[in-house]
Amino acid sequence: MWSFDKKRNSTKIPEESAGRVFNGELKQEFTITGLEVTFNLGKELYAPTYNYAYIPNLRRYYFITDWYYEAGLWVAVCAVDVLATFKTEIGNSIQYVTRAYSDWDPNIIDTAYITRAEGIVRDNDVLSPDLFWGASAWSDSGTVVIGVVGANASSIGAVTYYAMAMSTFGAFMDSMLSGISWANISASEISEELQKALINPTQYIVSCKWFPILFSSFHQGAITYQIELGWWSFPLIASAQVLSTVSSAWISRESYLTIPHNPQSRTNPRLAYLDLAPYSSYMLKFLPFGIFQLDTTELYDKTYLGMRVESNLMTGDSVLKLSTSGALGGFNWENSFLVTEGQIGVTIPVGQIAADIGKYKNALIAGGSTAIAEIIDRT
Amino acid sequence: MSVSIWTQTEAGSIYDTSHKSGKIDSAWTRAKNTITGAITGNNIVDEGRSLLEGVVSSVREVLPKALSTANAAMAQLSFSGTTGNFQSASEDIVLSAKFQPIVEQYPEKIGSPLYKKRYLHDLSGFIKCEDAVFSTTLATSVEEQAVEEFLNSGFFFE
Repeated sequence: MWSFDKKRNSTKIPEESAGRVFNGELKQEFTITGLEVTFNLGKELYAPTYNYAYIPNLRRYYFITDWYYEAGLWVAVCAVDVLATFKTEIGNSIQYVTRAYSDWDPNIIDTAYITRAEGIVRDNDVLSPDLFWGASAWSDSGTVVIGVVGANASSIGAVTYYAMAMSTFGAFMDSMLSGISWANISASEISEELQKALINPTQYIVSCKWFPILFSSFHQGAITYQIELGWWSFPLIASAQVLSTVSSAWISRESYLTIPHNPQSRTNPRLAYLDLAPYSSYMLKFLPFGIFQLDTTELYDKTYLGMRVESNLMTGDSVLKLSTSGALGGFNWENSFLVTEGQIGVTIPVGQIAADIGKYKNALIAGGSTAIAEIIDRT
Repeated sequence: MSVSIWTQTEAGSIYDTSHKSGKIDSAWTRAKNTITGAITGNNIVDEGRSLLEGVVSSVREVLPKALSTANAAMAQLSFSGTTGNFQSASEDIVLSAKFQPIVEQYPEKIGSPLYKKRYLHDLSGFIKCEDAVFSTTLATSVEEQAVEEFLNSGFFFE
């Protein structure tokens, strides 16, 4: 018998050396799971000291649940301890284990623990747009792409697209509008003032967009130093690039953000699932594409959020793709978990007189109907 | 010149009714005068000239108003595009996260999710099984059932 501290739902077995051997007699009638044993311990020994027993004849461990004294003898009331008795057989069995202390799957959400409203942690990672695009919107950097109607055998349709630095574009516009000498018409034929009234060079510029991409890092098309505009050629102060193919009009940029993780998941390997909803939520702000709530399962167990923007330089139409990876360079854009469209190109207005046929038609109808109504009233 | 107006009844008889209506005489008189004027070439010219002068006068007065109405609706200047937005290209790209904590954990007491088949002697501490089946020749069925209840409700293998 032992004086032994153990939980009722434990397989724990006491050390044999810590116990003491006594002889006892089973009461006449008993079951194997519940029985009583009589001990003649003499006057010196206080029997209730013992609370656990092993009966070799029955090959079982017992909890001594009670003692009583009867006719000068101590009687132990015993209940079998099945977990200790069959510990070896239990250990050798294969079971489907739903919870365990020594082994666990951190990817399974543990619903045993509820959330606390207090102690919410916020974290973020920020990427400057300059680092992503390579140019600042507020500087003179960036690339301007203009579509010009002019003589060019490699134009796309009737329009040739030129990419150039913002400063080059500014100089081009200045040289085009500050004088009319580039038209190469003698003033004796048409006065200079009349030439200015007759010739509007901006009508040949059918599109003009600014992109936040450093022109010095721009290598899309053949280099040129002049622009074919209508019937004329304009020299440029610096190089431009001709986007003569559809493929050259596409450009892509990639970068990444480091994914913040739940502090509890980082400090406790059992709690990796805390990086999932509803314990964690992620928002990505990437303008002009928008603000997105990201699927936490896509970011789970990943280190980097990759962002790739593919832009059409003719129209500015762009596509944002998101992918995650555990290591830099491991992004799989073919399996991007989010693909969305947006407009990266910033349209720069180029003024020109234009006739809107639809508006003229409506205006004439309105004016004419007014006149007829007045005449009818007067006659 | 006397004029007779003949009226045909529904029954088919025809008779002179001019004496019944002085208005008919009056209308006829006006028509006659007009026709007379047309023959002589005096009245119709004057009246036509007067009418045309009135129309021209109206048009001269109304046309500027009409043109003004039309002018207001016409596009005087348009652009090859609209002004874009540099703002979006200057905004930081931000990945923000919010984490909600959970209450204190006690895995020693209740374990952690595993959901796998295991030899139980490969585990230690708290174990909880699902639909456990325990069978041995050394135990009675009562004892086997007692073991299964412990395995399903959670026990400590130690």
